[in-house]
Amino acid sequence: MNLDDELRNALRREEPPAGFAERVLARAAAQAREPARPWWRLAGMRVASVAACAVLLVAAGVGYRQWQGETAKHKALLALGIAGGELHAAQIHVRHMLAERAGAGTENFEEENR
Amino acid sequence: MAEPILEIAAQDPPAKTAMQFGGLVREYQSMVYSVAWHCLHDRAVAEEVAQDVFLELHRRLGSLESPAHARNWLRRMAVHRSIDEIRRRRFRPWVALERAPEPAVPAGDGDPMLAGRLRRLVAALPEGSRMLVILRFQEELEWSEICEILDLPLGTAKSRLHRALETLREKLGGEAK
Repeated sequence: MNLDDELRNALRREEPPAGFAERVLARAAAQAREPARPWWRLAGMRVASVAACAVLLVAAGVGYRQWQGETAKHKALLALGIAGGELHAAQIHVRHMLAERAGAGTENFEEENR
Repeated sequence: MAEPILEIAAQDPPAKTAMQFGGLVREYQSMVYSVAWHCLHDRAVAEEVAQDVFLELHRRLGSLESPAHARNWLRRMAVHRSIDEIRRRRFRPWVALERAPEPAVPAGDGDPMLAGRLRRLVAALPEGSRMLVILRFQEELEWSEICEILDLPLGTAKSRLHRALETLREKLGGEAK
């Protein structure tokens, strides 16, 4: 079997279904009859779609910045809370040490604290 | 190949728009349709693609310089529209009637089903190789024309066709077993 010859035979040109040319000519005639869209309408649609995209982008940007601000605020508050707690614990520890060194009892220290 | 309608139209510019388009459709309908049919293996879709190619030609009729230009433009457009259709169909699974499995018959010389099987196998090749085979064996184009249409270097085109033919041989052999 010669594959090249078999391929030439298998892939020879075929006529399209009957009435193909008439269908194409009818569609072309219909296409030619269609009124052309005025340029300003096309341009207006383009401008409107670009403007809508721009508004969406700006809104998305503003929303993102707000979300970032809120997140940063929450993080800062959390950090302050943690730092405050740590600071308080350190303060108590230091006072304990000072009180012990001065020979005073813890009771006196706590009374002082009240 | 003689192109009487086109020659008349080319010599008489005012007659162009009136008769050139109909002449081009009749002259090249089998070329455009066959490229799409051998590539897509679905007659309905092939007709749709071929019609779209001719409608695009109708819109650009004024920019065509010669009958040869029209023929090359049509061939190139048929190739690229068919490739686009293959890519579109990757995302839309479909089974054309032509793809329905045929009874397995061993391949051999004089086998009346061999041509049909070869067409099915060609339509199953990757899109680039498929078009190479179609342009080489249906359109019998020169390598330079094939490379220009598919925008491929000569070496790539040749090796790709070689691989495609190997694949076809293997599959034909495999089906025959």
